[in-house]
Amino acid sequence: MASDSDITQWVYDFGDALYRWAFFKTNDENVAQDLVQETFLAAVSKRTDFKGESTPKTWLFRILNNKIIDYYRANQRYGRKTVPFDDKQAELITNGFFDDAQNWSDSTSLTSWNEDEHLLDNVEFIKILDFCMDDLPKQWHSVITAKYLSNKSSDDICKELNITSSNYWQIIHRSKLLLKKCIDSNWKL
Amino acid sequence: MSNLIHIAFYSCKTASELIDIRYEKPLSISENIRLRIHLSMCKQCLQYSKQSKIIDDAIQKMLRNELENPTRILDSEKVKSLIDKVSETNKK
Repeated sequence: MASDSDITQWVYDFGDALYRWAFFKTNDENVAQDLVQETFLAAVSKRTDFKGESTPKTWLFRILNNKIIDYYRANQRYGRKTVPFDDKQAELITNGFFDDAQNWSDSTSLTSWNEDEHLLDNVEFIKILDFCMDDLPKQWHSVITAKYLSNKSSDDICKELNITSSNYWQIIHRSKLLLKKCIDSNWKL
Repeated sequence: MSNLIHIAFYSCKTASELIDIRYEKPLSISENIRLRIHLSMCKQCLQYSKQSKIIDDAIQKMLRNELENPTRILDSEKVKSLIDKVSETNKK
C-alpha cells in the first residue's frame, strides 16, 4: 500500500512525465493537467491496491491511460476511434495475416513504407503510429507501453502484468502485426 | 513456399514470430541460420522484418521525445495545488 507521503512524493517524481504523456495524447494543456490531477486523486483513493509489484511509475501510467480512454469515450471529437479492439477481435485479425499453409495471406499487402529513410523524423508518421497504438486491446497496450517505457526485463513485465512469457511474446508479436496493418492503410506518401 | 521448405526453414507465420522475438530473446544458432535462409528466399518476411524494426524504433522515439521533453513541465502552482488536493483527499 502506498502511503500519503509516497503519493505526494510521486507528484514531484512523476508529475511532469505523466503530464507530457497526457499532453501528447490530448494535445490540450488544460485537459492534460486535469487528467494528471484525476490520476493522482485516483491513486489516493486506490492506494491500498498498490502492492509494490509494479513500479509506482507504471502503476500511475496505467491509471492515466485508463483516464485517457475515458476522456476519449466521453468526447468523441477529434475523429479518434474511441474503443480499442478487444482481445478476441484483435486475435482474429492477426490470425487473418496468414493463410492455411501459414504463408502471408493475399490480403496482407506488401507495402514499402519502410524504404523512407527519414521516416522516424516525420512528425506525421509518429502521429499515425500513436493513432494506431490506440487500436490495440487494453492489455496489449499496457504490455507495449511497459516494454518501451521502462528498461525492465521481460520477466519483470510479465510478473507485473501477471502474464506468462509465451503470452508476452505473442502479445508483442501480434501488436506489431496490428500496427503494421494500421500503418499500411493509414500511411500514404 | 512449399511444405518442405517450410519444415526446413520455417513457415512465414513462424518466421514472423521469430522476427519480433529475436530482439529480446536471442535465437539459437540453428534458429538464426534457418531464419536467415527464410529471409533470403521470402520477400514478404524480409519486408516485415524491416517494418518491425522501424515500428520498434519509432515507438521508442515517440516515448522518449515525449516523456523527456524538458520544456513541457507542470508549473509550480499546479504542482502545489495538486499536492493540496492529494492531501485533502487523503483526509477524507
